Amino acid sequence: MDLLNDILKQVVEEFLNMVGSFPVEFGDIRALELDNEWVWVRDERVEKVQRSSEKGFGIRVLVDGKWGFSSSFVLSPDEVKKCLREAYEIARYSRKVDKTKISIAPEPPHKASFKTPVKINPFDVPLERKVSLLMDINRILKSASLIQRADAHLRFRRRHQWYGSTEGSLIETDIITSSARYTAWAVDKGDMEFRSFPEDAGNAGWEFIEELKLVENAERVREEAIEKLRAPLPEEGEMELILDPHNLCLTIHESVGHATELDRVLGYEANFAGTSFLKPEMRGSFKYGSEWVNFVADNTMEGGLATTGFDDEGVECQRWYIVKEGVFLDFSSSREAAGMLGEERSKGSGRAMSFYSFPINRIPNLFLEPGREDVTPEDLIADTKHGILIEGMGSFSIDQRRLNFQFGGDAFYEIRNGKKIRMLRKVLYQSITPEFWGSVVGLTGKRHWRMYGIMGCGKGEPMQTAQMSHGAPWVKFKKIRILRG
Amino acid sequence: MIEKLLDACRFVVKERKCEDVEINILEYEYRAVRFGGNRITQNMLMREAKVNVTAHAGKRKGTASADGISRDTILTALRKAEEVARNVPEDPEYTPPYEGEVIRGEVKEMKIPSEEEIAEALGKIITKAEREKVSAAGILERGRINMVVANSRGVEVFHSFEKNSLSLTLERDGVTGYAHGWGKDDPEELFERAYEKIKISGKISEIEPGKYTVIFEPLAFSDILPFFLFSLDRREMDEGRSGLSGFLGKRVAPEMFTLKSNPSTFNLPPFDEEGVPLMERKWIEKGILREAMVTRYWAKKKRIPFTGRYRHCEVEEGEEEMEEIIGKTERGLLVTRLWYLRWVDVKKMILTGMTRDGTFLIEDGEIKGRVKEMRFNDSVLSILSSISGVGRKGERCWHGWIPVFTPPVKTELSFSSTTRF
Repeated sequence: MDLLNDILKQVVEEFLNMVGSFPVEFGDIRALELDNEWVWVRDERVEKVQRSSEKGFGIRVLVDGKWGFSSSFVLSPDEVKKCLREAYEIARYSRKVDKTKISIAPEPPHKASFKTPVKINPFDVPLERKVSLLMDINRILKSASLIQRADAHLRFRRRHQWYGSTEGSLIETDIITSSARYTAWAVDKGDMEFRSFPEDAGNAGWEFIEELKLVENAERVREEAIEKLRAPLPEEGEMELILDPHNLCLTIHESVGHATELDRVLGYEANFAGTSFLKPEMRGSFKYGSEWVNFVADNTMEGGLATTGFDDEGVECQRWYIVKEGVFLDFSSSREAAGMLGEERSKGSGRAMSFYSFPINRIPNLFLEPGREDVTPEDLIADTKHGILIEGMGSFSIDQRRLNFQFGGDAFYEIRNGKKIRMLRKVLYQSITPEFWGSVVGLTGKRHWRMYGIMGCGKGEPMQTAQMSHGAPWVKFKKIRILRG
Repeated sequence: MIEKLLDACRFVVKERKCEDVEINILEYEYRAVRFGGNRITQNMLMREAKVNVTAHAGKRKGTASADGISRDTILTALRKAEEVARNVPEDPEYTPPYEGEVIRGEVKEMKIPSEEEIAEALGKIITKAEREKVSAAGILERGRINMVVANSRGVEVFHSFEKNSLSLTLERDGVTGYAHGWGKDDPEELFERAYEKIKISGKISEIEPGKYTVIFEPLAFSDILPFFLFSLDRREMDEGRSGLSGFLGKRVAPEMFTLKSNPSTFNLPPFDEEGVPLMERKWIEKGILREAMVTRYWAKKKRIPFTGRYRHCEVEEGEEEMEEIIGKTERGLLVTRLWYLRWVDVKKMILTGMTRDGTFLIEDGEIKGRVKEMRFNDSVLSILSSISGVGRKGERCWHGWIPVFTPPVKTELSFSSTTRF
């Protein structure tokens, strides 16, 4: 491990020594090792255990306002020299194609290191213990005859990176992520329903897995999957809606996180991930939601998946408001996107999937702040005459400008006259982003606020995945369109 | 390069301490250039050699992967895989590595395009975009891919193929058009195809959601078919978890519709990740569901032949020109691209998704104008069973989940809402 650390650092230093002989405006390098461990147990048998390792470096240079990028998995001085030359030549040819110039937002140089605080390194936990945990969960889930399939998995990730730039930055980051999920599938008479738990991830060690209380929840999850299979379908039409923090995690991600990525607004993602209904001039005035709605981006939040100290462009992680008291205030940005808009500083959201990927503007950790009063979920339910409560994540889809969306969930309950009366199934809700957030009429307080991690946010061409966390209280909406799935 | 990759595989087989081993290598080198707002936003040289090693010890398996084919790297991956295999319980569904007939594939030496060639192709697009006062965004990818699968039971198969695609979105005053080419498409011709979509101008009208006759352009229909293929697992069907459970041998589409898979259509490897040969298979023949995908484990348990795992499909071309299909449509919609398709109910095969980058109203056999994009909620089975036209000219599309070859298809689709643009 230490030898590889020395090699990665050496590769970065080689680049910093060599790049001075090239006439570049800016250059940076990321040399990294990325380890993953996946453990899957299905129907009381080990479906797969996979350990993957990636290591390599990616070089980016800006020459006369144009980018060039090259990468390699061979960690040697000669390879650095070759890739630097390639990146430089690519940038020169880019200049011949179009006359526009990229300028990146400035960032002071940093000599720093950031490590995820970890109590128990998950890679040190014996495989037998991981398999045994998942087997225990599987046995509980499969102990009812209607549960035809039980899936459980653990995933651990370590991303150790050295970053160096021509601006004088030299940054080491060492990030550990742990995640878990299991699902019980109930099948009967040609129908099928499932219930999952907890589909969560955090930048933390094995202690994160222990705190999830996976085994303790398995019986409840099994019984709820069976109850869901026998539950009635919902009434269709407009009604009150209460969403739990887990369901909101995905809704926030899609309807706020992606909509407020500055690169989308500038057209960088128009061909694939899409653009946004927002424009830069809407900052400070556009009504994104009701006065209850405060969205804060915070890449310094402990345990958040985008809490990495620095992004992949050497920018320090920050906290800022995206929406305050319902008014849209600001975007997330990479250095290039911020530079295009003449911003003084990037918001530190330039991330790359691996060494061979080019950093792009990603969603930060993004949170809906809790209400100021100590409202409980029970209070929200008691105040609801006719509505539906949704827990957990389900089907999700949104248009390419992030307006029309449809979400499902994992568990659904009918509320009548202030009481949760029965489980439902196949519930969908549809809305238009600003109308949806404009219909917030209640939030629970700090005690019921919860954060969840998303590990596979896809964006970019070639597709890159990134990770970030979202948090929310329980939220009540008035008049949302409900459909049957 | 293939020889080097095969040497790496033979080294793993020789150095193994476990009973059996399987090796997969994906090696590529290509240029990827992204552009947006008529300027280059990323210009990259991508290279990777991803080695995946699965060790078999008794009835246990472990997998490890690494980058690079140096002896140190692959030996480390092998030892990690062996360690995993030693420390997991026996698998009651254990299947040893594949042995039997193989199809080797072909080896091609392919040149990576130079900076000048890339600059020329992109220059054509950006020049045209500036001339027509439109904003162009997209990606150009050109290069080569090598795949090798080998195991300790004597399987050694390989294939090399080109990565050569261009896709672009044109935008003017908020109106967009998209085109995608896979193969040796001319950038200027592709530009014209996307530009055609935004030239149909005028007021964008909003129509009521509901059930409509729909003509899918090939690219749009290519997004629906992967969801059918995902449901085509024989075990899932036999155990009642697939939407296709109970449909084998039954009609799922009209006689004019045949769905098959054949790697040669796409010049993809004629083998799957285990080395099992892939040949032409007809899943739906003249509307009847004839076959499903069968894994080696399920084949042995059920005493039926295994098929290998297919991740591509194609619709047999019909007889009508696109103009004829539109001409015969009294009222309907021309859908050019879909977006963000997800299962709503996997058992009932209900999908949701949005139309994107150009949806057009057809009345009395003519395109009347553009309508606001809409959300659909409908079942794949309903979409297939409602097919009333299959076009004559198919296209290779690979802009989504898997490669698909399909002509335009006329069917019915239920829309649940519109969006604001």
